[in-house]
Amino acid sequence: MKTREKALFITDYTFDKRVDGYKRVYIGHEFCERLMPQVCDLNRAIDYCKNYSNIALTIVTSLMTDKYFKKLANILDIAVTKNINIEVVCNDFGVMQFVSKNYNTCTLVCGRSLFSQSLWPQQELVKTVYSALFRKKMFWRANQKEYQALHFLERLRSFDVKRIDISSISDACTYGYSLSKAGFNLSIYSPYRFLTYTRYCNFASNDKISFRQSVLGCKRECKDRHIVFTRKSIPLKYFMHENVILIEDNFNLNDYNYYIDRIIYYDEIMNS
Amino acid sequence: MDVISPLTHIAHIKPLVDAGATEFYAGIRLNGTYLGVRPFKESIFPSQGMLEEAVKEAARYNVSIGLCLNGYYAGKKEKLLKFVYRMIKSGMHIFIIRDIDILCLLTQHFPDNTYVISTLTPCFNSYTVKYFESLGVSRIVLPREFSLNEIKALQENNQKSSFEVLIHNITCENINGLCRFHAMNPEEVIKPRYIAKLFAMLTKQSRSACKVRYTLRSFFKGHEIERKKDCMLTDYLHMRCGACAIPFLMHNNIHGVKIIGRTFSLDKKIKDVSFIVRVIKEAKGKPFISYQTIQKIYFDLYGKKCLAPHECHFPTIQTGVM
Repeated sequence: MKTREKALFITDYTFDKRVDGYKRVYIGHEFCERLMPQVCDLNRAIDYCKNYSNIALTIVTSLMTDKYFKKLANILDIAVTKNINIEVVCNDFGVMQFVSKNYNTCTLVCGRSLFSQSLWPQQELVKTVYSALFRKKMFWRANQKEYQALHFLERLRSFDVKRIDISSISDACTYGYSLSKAGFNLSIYSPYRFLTYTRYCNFASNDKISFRQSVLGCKRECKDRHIVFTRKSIPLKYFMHENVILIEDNFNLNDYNYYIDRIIYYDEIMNS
Repeated sequence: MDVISPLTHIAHIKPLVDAGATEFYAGIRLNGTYLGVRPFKESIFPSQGMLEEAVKEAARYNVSIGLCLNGYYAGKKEKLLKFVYRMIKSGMHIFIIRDIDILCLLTQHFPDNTYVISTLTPCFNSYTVKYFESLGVSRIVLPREFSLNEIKALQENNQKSSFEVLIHNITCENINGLCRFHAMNPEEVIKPRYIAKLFAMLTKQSRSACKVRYTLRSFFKGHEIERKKDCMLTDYLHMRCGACAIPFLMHNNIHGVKIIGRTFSLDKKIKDVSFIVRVIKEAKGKPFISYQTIQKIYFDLYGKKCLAPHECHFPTIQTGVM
């Protein structure tokens, strides 16, 4: 069994949590370009990582429109000038190309949203329900499959990507062996997996003051709010947080040895 | 500007071409697998033979049919290649693709076709456009949630590729290619499919997980502030129309507008195509058409009032803030 690296996803940028036991800190946002960290946030993150020895830094990027590339460049420039080797998680081939072309010191990682594009989306929900009903390892072992999108992997290799972020334990169980054999390291997010996300922000203008004063731009109102959806006939809880709908992955990751060597803990919803 | 319409039967070609359609897109099943993203019998051609006939029939009217390969294909690649080869032989040359794996496979074997990146593959920026260009893609269907300014910027920065915009019967608010709710309800896993169907019929609910009713609990800074019953996961479920933006899109050299609705009746499809064609005719040479003119065309064809701004996909076009 590989030793697993523990990483913490920090989204509030206050950096007041202690990261004892974690080897890596994630900052950024996978789903919303507006929630990308500012230059000052990155500076704070770098200082924070320096305070703890051996803590590495990863910046997560989302799908991005053209105007946000300048902002991303500003952030990555700082990492280059401070001579820090950072990891950049890309959820879009365009972003991957931009980073590999302009910042070749950064290590690229295939994000879970980009990776999930090579899988059939419907499988996700079906697998989730099965996993909620039959919490058995055997079920997943029997369903181990060969990962077929070999051209996709080739494309990732052409950017020198060596790590893939996987959204759910079921995907890790199904394709873990195959991807690991192909030479990729795998990380997984815990405890939530995403189901869908939108660019029409559900929480925009929830703040009455900004609504009255017609404040333009993002006020990050989504940070403090979340909605839970339940239905008697489905053994799942849907969480709507920021611009994403997530579901809980109720697995004890220690029971699984599906070639995962990094776990990224993300617990913001419970705090909002 | 091309008007790209859905097609599910050979007999629909003539009436739709008469209404003004200049290109079609169609789905098919190969060895039990739906090659397109809509996994319903009503949304695909009944047989491969009929699709081949349809391609030849459409060629007689100088119109092309694009094949939707934007589903997930897990079968043998050789079978897919054989099938595509058969389609190319019959005259098909447009392929709408989601999966980068299938794109690479087809461009490797058949490089001379037109490959269109489906809206299911999110293409948000110039870098992604250029990346797909390098893989052999010549046309891109833009994400449905793009604003007009974003469409304009992307077109200006990428003159080599042509772009298509979804314009009519647009429903979902989520980023299409990354949504795991696609026509799937987890209840169907628990109940046998026919019971789920019956249950959905009796309770008058959709079978899609994003459209069934849930109990909602809203939290603010960890405290529950609201509890409601009978809520859906998404709000924007009525079909939206972006016809008001057509003059803007024409002015910005967008290649074509795409109408959604493969499962609709022929009558509805003809009305949709006629509506878009009439707006295009009205918009020729004008930078802007008034909302009243489009409402009038809408009323003439559908016999009901256009419910803008509630059903408007680009509601800001009339105010000039894009």
